[in-house]
Amino acid sequence: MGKKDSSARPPVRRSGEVSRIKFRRANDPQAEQDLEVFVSEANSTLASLDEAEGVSQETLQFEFNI
Amino acid sequence: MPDQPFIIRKFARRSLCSALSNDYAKESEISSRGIVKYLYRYLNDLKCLSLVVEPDYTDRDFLDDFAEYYVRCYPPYNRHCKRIHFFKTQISRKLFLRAIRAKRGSRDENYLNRNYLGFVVARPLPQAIIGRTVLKTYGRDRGRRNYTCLKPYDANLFGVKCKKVDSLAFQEQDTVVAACATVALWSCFQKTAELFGTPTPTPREITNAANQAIYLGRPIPSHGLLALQMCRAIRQFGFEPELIDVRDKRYRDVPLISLLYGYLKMGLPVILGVDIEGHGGHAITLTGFSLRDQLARDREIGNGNEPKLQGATQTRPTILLMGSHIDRLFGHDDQVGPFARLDIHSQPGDNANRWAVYFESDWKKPKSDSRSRLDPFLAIVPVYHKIRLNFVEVYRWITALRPALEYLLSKIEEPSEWDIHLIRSNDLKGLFKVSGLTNAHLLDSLLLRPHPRFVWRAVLSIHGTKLLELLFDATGFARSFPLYEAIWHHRGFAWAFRTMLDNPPLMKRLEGVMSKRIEAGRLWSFLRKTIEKQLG
Repeated sequence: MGKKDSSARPPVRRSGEVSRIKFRRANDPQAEQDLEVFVSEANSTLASLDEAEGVSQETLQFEFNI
Repeated sequence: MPDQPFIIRKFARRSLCSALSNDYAKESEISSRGIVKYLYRYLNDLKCLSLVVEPDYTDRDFLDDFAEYYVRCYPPYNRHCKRIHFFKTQISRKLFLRAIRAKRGSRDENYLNRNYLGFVVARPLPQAIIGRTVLKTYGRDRGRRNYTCLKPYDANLFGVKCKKVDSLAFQEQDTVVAACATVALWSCFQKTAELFGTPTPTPREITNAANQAIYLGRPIPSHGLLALQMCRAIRQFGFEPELIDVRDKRYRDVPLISLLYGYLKMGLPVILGVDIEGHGGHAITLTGFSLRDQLARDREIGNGNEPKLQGATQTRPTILLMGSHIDRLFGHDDQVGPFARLDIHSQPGDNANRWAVYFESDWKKPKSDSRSRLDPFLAIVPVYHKIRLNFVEVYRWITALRPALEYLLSKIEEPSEWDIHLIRSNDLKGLFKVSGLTNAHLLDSLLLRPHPRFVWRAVLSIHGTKLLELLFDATGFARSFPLYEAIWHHRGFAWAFRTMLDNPPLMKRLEGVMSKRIEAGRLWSFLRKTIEKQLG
């Protein structure tokens, strides 16, 4: 996967340039395959996030003492 | 009346220490204390030039501590404190008296007001001399520094009404009536009182509330509180403790810095529990953040759980969260000082099973000059009881949308960003008015319709160009359908999204998004309806 240089955030686009953002078209032949991969990875994160609730007893008993 | 009703001094390290000193803490001894050094540096940075001491000041919080504990001690502690006011101008006795004697709004009073920097209450104790402290913050630095958890404080000085200072009260723990967790909560409750109209309890009241939890230890002298006791105190004063167990593997995919930002942006302080290398557990009240234009780090979650692209043909677009731009947090650390900096560092790659970030501040390793690591282990947000939806629940919805966005944005080189934060409905309507929405019908409908009192707002943008804004009912609950509005800011993006939703093979894939808490089909259907309504 291509790694982009993200060291600097480019300046805000002027309004006239907004329409130039090109989104992917649905007739892309690889579309379904890519989407399947994206969905599978999102599901992995969602499964993890579904567990993200509650606090362990160990943490509740942790003392703030300094 | 004391011998001198006020004392004016040029601001210097020595005059500050002299003003803070008392019968039990001599000037020479307190000058080496870390917190005194911090306050001197801080006031110096604020360009302080003068200080005015009120030698006989009654402080509500100390008086309560005094009545609970100090009055029964053998040494005859004074119940009165000193209050030290700071000004960024030279003040003469003549000018000060003129301001006191003049009518409200006089030129001299206004002059004092323009140069007022705030005050420190000096407690008459051997240790923990820094009582209630209200000081101005550093400047915004072109929007980088965001001190969001401030409120206006008044100070009356011999009838001179000093200009309101936007700050958040700070104090040092005395380890008798209050430990670090107590004063962290005390600072936090100062702000929540303004946000939600709740009480501002004294440290003694907080310690007593905390000790109503089942705990067999001695409440006073208080050497510390358990997380459980902090939760008890939070409930006692009308809030619910939202807890994020940072070290628990269940939270490994939760972006901590963006989560903190989500609450801090509204002005809601977060108490961060950290394990300080060489010291132990400590509570810090977060009060703001430093937001950079450039990226501060390229990942938000730890332990290498970020998705790995295998089998896809397109470049994965980078979809970030605002936490990626935050390089520093600001917090009231009672052992360091008010608005202390916490520099955020990414964990080294070999710490694969730990949280993605750790912090560094003025804490040093014992008997060393090198800085200690502050490892986060718990974040506590005292939320108003009607705020039932938390950041993690909103982040789930954003994650459910990710495949669709990764698909649509894969031709775009620049990163897109989600800005997820809590907001009050009135503030939200204020934002609509300046949002630049050109669809007058949509703008009217957003302004004229009722909104929940608290809203989670998630804005997706590229280069500052807004694409989509989602509004979640923060008073709803996770298993409901809290997403109640989608605002399509960018027509081209809305068209592309609808085209994708209208493609049956793609929809079949998208309906495969699975979560115990989210009905993907209902999500896509809701988004389609909002596009149709807004595009016509």
